[in-house]
Amino acid sequence: MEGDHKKLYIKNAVWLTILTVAELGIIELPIPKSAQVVLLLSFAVTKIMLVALVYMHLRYETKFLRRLLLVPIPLALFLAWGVIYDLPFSWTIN
Amino acid sequence: MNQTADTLTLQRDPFGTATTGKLGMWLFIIMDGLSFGGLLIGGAALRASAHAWPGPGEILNVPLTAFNTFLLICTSFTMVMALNSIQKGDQKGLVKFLTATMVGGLLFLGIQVWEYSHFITGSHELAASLEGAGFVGATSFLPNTSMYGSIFYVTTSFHGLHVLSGVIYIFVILLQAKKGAYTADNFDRVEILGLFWHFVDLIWIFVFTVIYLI
Repeated sequence: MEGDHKKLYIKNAVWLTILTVAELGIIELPIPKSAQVVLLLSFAVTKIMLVALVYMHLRYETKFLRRLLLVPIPLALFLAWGVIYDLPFSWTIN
Repeated sequence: MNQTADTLTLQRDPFGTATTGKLGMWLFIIMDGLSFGGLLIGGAALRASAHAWPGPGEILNVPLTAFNTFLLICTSFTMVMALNSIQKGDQKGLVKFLTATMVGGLLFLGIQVWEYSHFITGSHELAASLEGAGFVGATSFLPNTSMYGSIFYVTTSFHGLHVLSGVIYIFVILLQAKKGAYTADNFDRVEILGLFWHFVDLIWIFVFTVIYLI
């Protein structure tokens, strides 16, 4: 990963900015809230991938390390499942 | 001796050329990511139980925070350019880009503090926004104004603490860089600092989407 990647880094920053501006447009779109949420989360994940792969140089790491970094995802999904399961039993708050 | 070296090579192979310090930072990032994941998932669950939940921009200043997001993206660029510079042996470039990253981080914090002070001191405009969002009678937006306020302050201040830590971390590395501690063959600490700073940016992308836009 050593070497001059200035153009790639600039291109990445431009894409991150474009996606951020696009997110601002999505919240103004006359579409259902659920569609907005899906679009916004997709854009956020894309931006996160751009930062991780290009700026954090994850694409130059070994497959093993890249897979290791995916370990928190099932843990987070398990937590999400836990709190969703608990929702019908929780009280309403302000 | 050779056998030990071979065993070490075998053990390190799954991680390629990544140094121990770099692996340590990746491990920290995994754990810290889980902390943020817990906050955001907990926040989403509380949101599902809440009576009133303001839409994007009803209380929070979305354009200002979008600018802050842009600022953090710019600092990610300057941080990666700092590493790029020292990999080529350019110590002046390293100092220049680290300074730019630190200034960007301080600006981000300054804007966040301004946003907090605006919410804490309150105004007629803010009171009207709060009433429109369902928080009748509230004149300022505080952590105890509603569950929305609690989630906003806890998540953004936890992230802000990371930015502050990052700025201090950059300052320390910057002082070492000014003394010529880093060269084209010795830049591991700069790379590890970069991983932390990009993680701070990466988390903000998610916080901005979940707290401000959804």
